[in-house]
Amino acid sequence: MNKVSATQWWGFLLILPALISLFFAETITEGSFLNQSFEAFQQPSGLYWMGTDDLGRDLWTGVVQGLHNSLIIGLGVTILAYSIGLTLGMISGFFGGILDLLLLKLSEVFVILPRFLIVILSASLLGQGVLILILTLGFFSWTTIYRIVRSEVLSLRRREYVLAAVALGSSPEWIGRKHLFPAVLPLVLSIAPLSICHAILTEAGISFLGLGDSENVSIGYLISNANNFIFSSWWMFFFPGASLTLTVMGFSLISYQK
Amino acid sequence: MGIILFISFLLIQAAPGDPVAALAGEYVTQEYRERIIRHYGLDQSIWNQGLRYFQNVIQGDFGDSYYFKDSVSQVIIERLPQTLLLVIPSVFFSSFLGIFLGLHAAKSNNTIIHSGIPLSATLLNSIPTFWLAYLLILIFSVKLNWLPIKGMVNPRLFSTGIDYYLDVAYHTILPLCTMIFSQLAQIILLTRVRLEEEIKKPYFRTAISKGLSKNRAVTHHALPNAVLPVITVIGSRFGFLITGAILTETVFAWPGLGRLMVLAIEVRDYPLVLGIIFILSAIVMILNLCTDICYSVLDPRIDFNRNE
Repeated sequence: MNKVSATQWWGFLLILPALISLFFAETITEGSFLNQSFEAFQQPSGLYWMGTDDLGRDLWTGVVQGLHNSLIIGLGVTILAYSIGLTLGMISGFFGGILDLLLLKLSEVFVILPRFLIVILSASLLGQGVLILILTLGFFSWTTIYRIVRSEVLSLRRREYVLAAVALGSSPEWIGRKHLFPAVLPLVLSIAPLSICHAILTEAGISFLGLGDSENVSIGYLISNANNFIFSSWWMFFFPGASLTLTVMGFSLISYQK
Repeated sequence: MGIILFISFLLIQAAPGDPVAALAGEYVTQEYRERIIRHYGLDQSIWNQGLRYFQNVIQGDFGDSYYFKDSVSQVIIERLPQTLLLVIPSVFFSSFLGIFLGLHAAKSNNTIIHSGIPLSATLLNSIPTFWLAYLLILIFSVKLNWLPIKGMVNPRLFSTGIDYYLDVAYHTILPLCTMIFSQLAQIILLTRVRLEEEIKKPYFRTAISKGLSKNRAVTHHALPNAVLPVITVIGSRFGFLITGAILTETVFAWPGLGRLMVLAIEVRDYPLVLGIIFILSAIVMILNLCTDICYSVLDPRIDFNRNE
């Protein structure tokens, strides 16, 4: 790996708050965001760092827990998409032939399907939950990784060390795990932050439309809730969006191409 | 080759319609049971329903909307022009503006422009579309009071003729800007990266060493090569365009397909949801085909008729 550049350090700095909220959401907030109080529409102050919303809920708690959930979804989707993409890519590149052709065509179909529409559809038909969202998004995001892995494995297959492993009678599964996987992983890992970005933004969009998980706080929900109070309570709208933007910006800076 | 691929896409694309139609049927029976079951033929087997829906869709009939009590195609056709009014100009504006800005970022020696444009593009790329829309509303409608907040026409004016079109244009500015901004960043970043790759190639060095200015060498020699992949990416991002359209229309209460879809989901109007998804996917695929054709016209090395 290369040296970490200045832009990447800025990226890490920007995602730091989100990472803190991922691990310490319970510690730095008190109680659930859903706890209502009589102090609605409070301006940001020492007591309520980001103010309160129309039901007197503390927005600081909401933003922290929202970022926590965003990140879980981003990571979950990325892990799922990478598992599918890596597995299929290695199978496709290693075995070749009709299987490769079928998988390639399948990936072309998946590329062209409008992902956001699929997620809307699954949210409205299968139900609105974090797990369903992760599964649907992950299942429809593997194509980029698949393509990179496949083309790399196609060339790796002719390398001598892989040929030697084949000649020694290693099983395809062993070759995949021990020889191909370590070689292709660094290639696709560099775009992982972008995959997290996409997943986070898609989730925000879905919950903005009111199709998110109603049990858990989401940044998209906070913003759509601020919709009616945009004239009077700027903080309700500003803090959730700004925190999400900075986090996503952080992830994109980490994989920023100089 | 490209066309065969396209047709196979279309077929498989249409396929998810039938299990989904079946699901939608199942769901509705819970709500409307007695009254609806006979009327929409939900007492038949799931496979029969799916098959029938599929047959009807091929003939251009998406069934009737539960909510609007009108045929789905009719409801969609009424809303389609408004969505296209946002989508088509935004693609053109963002493509030209994006390539232009990317070009400037790549060829400028000024540090602020050279790294400032890509960095602000990254920031722009990180902003959720709907939050951007609210920011624009907050600045231009609430603070400056220049532009209308929502809607497509001013309902108090009852304008006709040229005034009507001016009113629509006035209301289009903010949603259109939101759509343009949501696509712009990717195009800027990609154009710049591609251009910098082209600049490293030997032919570019030849162009410089035969005495061309850097400016001219970039615009006339590197740009034509760099733009091709950019066009492919613009084509492959039409799916994201739909995302942008749905969110933008929701924020601005724009009477287009995206807003209609959100409404259809809220009232559980599944024939309508399926119809819209079908139409939007079809639009995405047609635009993809257009990009492919564009690509073969622009790049003489590509020949779809020749199999390698």
